[in-house]
Amino acid sequence: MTIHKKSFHRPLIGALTLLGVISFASMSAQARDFSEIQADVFQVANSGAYPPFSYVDTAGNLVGFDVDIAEALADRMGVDVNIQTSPWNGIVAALAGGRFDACICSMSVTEERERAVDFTDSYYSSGLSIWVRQETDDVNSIEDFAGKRVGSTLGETGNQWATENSNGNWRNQTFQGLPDMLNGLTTGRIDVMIADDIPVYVALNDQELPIKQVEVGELPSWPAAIAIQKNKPELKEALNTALAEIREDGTYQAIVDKWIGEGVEFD
Amino acid sequence: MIEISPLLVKAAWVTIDISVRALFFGFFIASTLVALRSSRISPVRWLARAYISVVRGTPYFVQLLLVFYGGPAIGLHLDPFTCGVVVGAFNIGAYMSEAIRGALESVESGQNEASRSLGFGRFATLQHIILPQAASLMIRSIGVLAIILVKNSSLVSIISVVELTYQAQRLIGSTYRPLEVFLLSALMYIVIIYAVMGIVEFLYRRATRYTYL
Repeated sequence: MTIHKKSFHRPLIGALTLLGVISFASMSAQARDFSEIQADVFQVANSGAYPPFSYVDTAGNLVGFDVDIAEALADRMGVDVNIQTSPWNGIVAALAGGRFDACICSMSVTEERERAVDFTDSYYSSGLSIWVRQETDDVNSIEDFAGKRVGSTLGETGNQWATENSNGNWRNQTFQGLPDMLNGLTTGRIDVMIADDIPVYVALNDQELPIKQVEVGELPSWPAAIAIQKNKPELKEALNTALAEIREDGTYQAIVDKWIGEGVEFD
Repeated sequence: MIEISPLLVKAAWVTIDISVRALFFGFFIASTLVALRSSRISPVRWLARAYISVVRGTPYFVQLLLVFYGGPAIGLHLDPFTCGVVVGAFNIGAYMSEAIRGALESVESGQNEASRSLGFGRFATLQHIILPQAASLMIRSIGVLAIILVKNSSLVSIISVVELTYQAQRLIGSTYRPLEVFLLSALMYIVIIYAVMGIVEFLYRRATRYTYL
């Protein structure tokens, strides 16, 4: 019996070791710095599922705030740009693995991510916000989350906050994206929604939903920045210079006005 | 919803394309594995068996991530679509080899002996005696695998292939209407799978024209 067990496990352990070695090795894959990008095309990625920052419109085009920012930056840097989509939950791994040169995807700068990638200067900042259905009147502080179903988007900062702060008081439910989560809130699959504020404001400008924001005290906010591979000083420098330039010449403000609109605090 | 359906149809073609290619190459991988497993050299047999165990023992999702993100580290730079085809073929190949082997082995051994005693060689026996009988048994199980392959192809969205599922997810971003978009994409999957079942039945009937199994 034991002999059978061993012979069954041995190839299994071998295979698992192999998987481990390959996955660690992938983190150190070769990458390009700015001089190599200049000779080729600047490959940029975003999730394509985060309106108004990046999404696919009904004609099939990838559009949004981040897309315009990427184009404006590439224009300033004098490089050709190719903007592609990569699913959000794998985007950091894909960047680290050298699938593209930068994520211009409204990524919040967090300690955890800084271990895997480098960030440029911030290009705006966003904070968490809390939303409930219009008729909900018993959520006024974080303590009131007790026993409720709290929704957040997988892999986003709101999800991280919810996981760290629940302490078993409430049930966390994760969604793949904001539209999905808004649907979950209005149809009653969750009672409370934690999300980055700006996308929700913009969504509410677009359509009427029976939800409202509630103030529950101090919630964290993060600067959003462009993620690039570790140790790419030239690229970081070039992006930072270009960012400063588009802020100065008004390009940045024009993009903000186009996608975010008025009445939304944005800096 | 009408304005987004052309985009979904286009994405459905990607789903079909990736599945057909994976099935095609998968069949050759499966046949090779069957041959290797009946090899007279034991390390070759062992290798084929180990390969099948690894593939069947790990989720398709993990295999995709491993090859896509791990590949560049060992110099394997595959674009998302190619990666989807390659991993799909190697994955389905392992399952299909078992289906093929099972079908071949279920042909009575007396058939083999009789054929060999009539002077047929190993290969001729396989070609003229065993395969025609095994084919009818094989076709339906391969058909089941083909259906699984089509549905598994939704997982290649994780490596950013814009197939039916990923396109649906992306379109929800601009329409904010998950229910309608997913229903529409589900409908397209049903149409594709229904077509696969039709082809399988057609092939099955052709293969059993002269046999009564």
